[in-house]
Amino acid sequence: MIAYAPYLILLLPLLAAVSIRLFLYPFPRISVSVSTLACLGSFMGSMALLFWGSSLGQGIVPALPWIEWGGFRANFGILGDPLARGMAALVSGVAFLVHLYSIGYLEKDPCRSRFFAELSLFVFSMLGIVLADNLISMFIFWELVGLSSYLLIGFWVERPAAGAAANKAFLVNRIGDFGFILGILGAWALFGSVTFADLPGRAAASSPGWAVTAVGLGLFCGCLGKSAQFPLHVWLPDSMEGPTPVSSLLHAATMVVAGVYMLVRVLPILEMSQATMMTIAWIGGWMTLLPALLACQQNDIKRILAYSTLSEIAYMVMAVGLGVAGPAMYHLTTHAFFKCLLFLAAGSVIHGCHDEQDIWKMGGLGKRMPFTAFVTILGTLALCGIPPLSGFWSKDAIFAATAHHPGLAAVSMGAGFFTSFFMLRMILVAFGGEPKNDAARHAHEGSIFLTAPMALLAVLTLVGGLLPVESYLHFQHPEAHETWTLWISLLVALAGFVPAYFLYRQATKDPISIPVLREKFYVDEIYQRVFVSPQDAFARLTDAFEGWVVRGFLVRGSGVVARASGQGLRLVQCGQVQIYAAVFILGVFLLLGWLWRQG
Amino acid sequence: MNFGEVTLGHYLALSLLLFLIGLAGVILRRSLLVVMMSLELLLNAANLALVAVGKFHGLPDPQVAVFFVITVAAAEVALGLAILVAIFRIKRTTAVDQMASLRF
Amino acid sequence: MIRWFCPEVLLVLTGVTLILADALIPPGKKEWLPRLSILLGIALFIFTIWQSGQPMPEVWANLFVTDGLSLVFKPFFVLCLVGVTLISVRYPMGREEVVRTEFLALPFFSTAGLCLLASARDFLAIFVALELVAISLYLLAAFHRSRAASLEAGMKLLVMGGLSTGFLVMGIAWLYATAGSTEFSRIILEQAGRPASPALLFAVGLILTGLAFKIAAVPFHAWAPDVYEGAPTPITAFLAIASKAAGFVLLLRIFCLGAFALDSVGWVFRPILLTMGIATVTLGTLAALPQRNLKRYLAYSGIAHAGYMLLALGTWGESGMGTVAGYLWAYLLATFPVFIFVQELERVHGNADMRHLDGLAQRDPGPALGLTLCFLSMAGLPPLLGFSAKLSVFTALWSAGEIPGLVVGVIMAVVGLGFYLVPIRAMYWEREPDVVPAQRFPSFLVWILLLAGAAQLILGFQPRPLVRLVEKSLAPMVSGNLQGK
Repeated sequence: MIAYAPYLILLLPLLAAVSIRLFLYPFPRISVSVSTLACLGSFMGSMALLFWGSSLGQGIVPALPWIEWGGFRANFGILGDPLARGMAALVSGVAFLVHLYSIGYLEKDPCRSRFFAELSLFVFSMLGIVLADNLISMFIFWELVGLSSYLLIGFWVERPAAGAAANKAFLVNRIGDFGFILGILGAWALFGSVTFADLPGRAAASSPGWAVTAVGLGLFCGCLGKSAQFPLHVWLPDSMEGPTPVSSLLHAATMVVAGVYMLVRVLPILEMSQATMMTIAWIGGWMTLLPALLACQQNDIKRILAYSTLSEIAYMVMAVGLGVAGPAMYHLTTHAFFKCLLFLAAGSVIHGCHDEQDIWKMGGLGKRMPFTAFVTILGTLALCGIPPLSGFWSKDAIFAATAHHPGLAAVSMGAGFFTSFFMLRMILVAFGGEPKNDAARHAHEGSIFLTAPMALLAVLTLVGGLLPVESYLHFQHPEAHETWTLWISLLVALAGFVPAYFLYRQATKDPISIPVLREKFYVDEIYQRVFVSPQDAFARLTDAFEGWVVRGFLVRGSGVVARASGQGLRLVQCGQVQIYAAVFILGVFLLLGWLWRQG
Repeated sequence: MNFGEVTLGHYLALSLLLFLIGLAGVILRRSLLVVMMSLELLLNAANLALVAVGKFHGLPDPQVAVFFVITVAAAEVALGLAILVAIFRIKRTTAVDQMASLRF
Repeated sequence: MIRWFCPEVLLVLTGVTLILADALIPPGKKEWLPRLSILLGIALFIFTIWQSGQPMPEVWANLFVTDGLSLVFKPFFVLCLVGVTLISVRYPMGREEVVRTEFLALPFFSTAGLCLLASARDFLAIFVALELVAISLYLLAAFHRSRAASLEAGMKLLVMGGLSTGFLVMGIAWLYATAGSTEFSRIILEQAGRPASPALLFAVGLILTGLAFKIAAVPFHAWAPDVYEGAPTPITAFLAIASKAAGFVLLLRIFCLGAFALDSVGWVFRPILLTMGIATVTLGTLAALPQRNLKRYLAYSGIAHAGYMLLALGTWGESGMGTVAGYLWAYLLATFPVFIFVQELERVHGNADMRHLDGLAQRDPGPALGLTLCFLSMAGLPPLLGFSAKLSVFTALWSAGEIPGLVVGVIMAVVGLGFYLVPIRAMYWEREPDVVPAQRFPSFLVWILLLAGAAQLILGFQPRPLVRLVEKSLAPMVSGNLQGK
């Protein structure tokens, strides 16, 4: 019986979500503690599994028989390999910190029972993705994660933008999921199994061909949607309409990297086709650069971070495309720490400034919120890959993998330049200079619930590079480590700070910054020519894509289909029973005509 | 004049003809009463075919089946007339095309 | 002795008893009759389940057979009856309060017909049983005589049903003409190993028409939305679930196991069923999008579900048959609770317009949760039962190599998600209307809804019990009662 205990990791958050929704809904304080304690329980369970799981050995958790229809068979089991155990600990740990943070962040919200129920649902489904031992059950949790993301983005129901963003996220994800399910079906058809344990063997036994490429690309589609990669990335910036803890947990640290985790799981399939791997690597490569460019012109603090998230996930995708799963998972781990930290800090700023998100209306927060400023800088340094912070080690591992692909190295290192640029811009504008309005002037640090999680994450960000990742990721730092990638990437990243410093140091001093900017006209000119126009063009392109494909085709398209089918119905479904009879008889004649042709 | 022997084919053709007339009546006639009569015609066309088949193949079963069909048809008609009367009470008409409030 | 008390006999006896009681008991003292009918229904359900475990004579005078399919689906139909009776007693009949007992008794007769259908193995028996079902339903659909809509629904059902009966009887006549018998085993013996004659195909085509009407497959579907909307809600539920299921049980028995389980026939009719399935799925899904009346919406949703089942049937394999049998149970579990709710909506608001759902989650979270689970299950979202059902349709299509059907099915499943989200969105994200009726949902119905929702979840995760049921329903037939022992 004790062998079934690991299922508790999954069940606790589910029980919390259900009990809150059914019974505890009117008692926010109890709901909050139940949800948080459930998450803590999951975390402790995951830690126990992480440390002692290896002595139990793999496959010790018995699988529950699940679907057996026809020739189809799938179990519902928990995966016990180090990767899953490490990831589960990471997810539940970060989730627990975000739970704590949310207690402070939403202390005045009357609907926080609903929030915590949905958060618990998310933790349940995310852990489900991580621990799933086959593609079918992973897909189910994949959808549940999509559902909880939808609910959480739209948490503030009174904001129309939140509803729109939730819808957009859901719809765009459906496109990816469509490819994903086709990929799963294809994998089942090709290899006869959807269990992760079987896949490497089955894949090695089968021959490569277009079908394998198609299956790989289908599975990658799922990643495109969930991890917000081009061309399905449009939902992530909008999802920032949700509460900040949600952005931090779902849209930075855990959910959006589920796509990368899934790619690592199906890597044996992907590796069979060079075309698939190159597609993944190049989409990842370009996606490191483009969002970084976009972020340079954002004014909303959360959107800046959202674009940076797009860019960082792209590093992981690129690493998977290059066939190095270890560095991808390593970066996933460190990214979870420092990006979660950055978002929580942003939330703290927003909370402190009374729901102000525009960095140009903040300013001077460094003095009023010294702790938040400190952790933001720490997170930024980690994000930019400055040693000895955690981000440096993981990014370096990825850059080392690009050593033999100069093109990818160039794009991804270029992205590092802009990352440094916009992060410093954000810090200088928001934390430096003088306050721009009363809200910023009266900004203050939040309660212990806000600061404590940040402090913990800051420590993790600091020492994340020392984590014994090799043991659970099975990856060594590449033996033939070509140091040029290390030095160039570091130099480029540091170079990114320089223009930002010169551009925005001045801008923060004076709230009416336009004349000051005009004095440094030629710098702006270069900046405009080199960065903004392509970026505008890109923005226009993505906007056109969004406008035509997402809004036009999906949202309005469904309306058009509805109207058209309504019109079509009016012709037949006119209420006249004799028309129905005529259609019926016509149907009979059609059928008999078919028979006549056949027989 | 000799039309040749009357075969099973003739009966079946006649029954199909009756059936088609019934179908036309169901689609085209305006009065619900006549529509129901046309529905009865469909069943009677089938009855004709049954009897003819029974006779020519020397089978008793089809001819027994006719009794079942007649019974069912009677029940259907009784019910149909009841509905017709109820509709007439409310709508003051038996025109089928006046009963089209449920649609789309 | 006990073997003569099969469900059909008991159902008819119960119906007669109810009507006699209504006639004999003086007015004013009959309040307990509705409750009695519910109790009798439940007792019958338990009896049917008990009896399905007992050894039974396999063949009754070559007309009826007791096999897995009938043993599994008789409880299905009686369960539908219990549900219908449960909500019939709450149907707001208005002035016709007096004749309510007939409203409760007639479904018993109709269910007797359904149970006969489940075990009929002779087309003549099928015809009589079908008419027993249909005539009771004509009457029930038109039962609310003071409502023009109900009468119109009855009229439409009568005309279209009469039409389909005409085709069915004509088909039977032609079957006599070509095969010389209507008994399944004799037809099989007669026709096996021969190419199918055109006249036989003609007869099968006409009979298929009659059954396609029952399941509301395109293009024989046009009656369904109108009749569903106009008929009293319990009857709509009966039509949508029990009557449709009977159509599928018959199709299974006729095409896969019984009379026409012949290669010569299957070769011709397989593509027809698949094409019909594709058309039905597409029309049902697209037409449901603009609907604003819940009953019409459920009608189109039911049409779409029938399309999926037709696709599974069209694969002509054992897995396809099992899928149909399992899908029917999933459909019952997901759809019936929604009908329960629709009737409560009608009690309060007088109609089943979807806007009455606005803000339901705030004022009545329990039913909203149950309904959401049901709708999501209908949409086929994992991990609910509907997902397993759809998945097995798709796997059956895949392994049969029916790629066009698979592609259309998957696309329509995605589109369908759009319209199943409409009521959910209304319940959770729309604002409450200004005037909120004071009437609350009775708590036992809330529990039924929640239980049904929980069942979707549990069976979605662990469909074992259902799988075992499906296996049971197919097992004896596959082993060969084809030869008609």
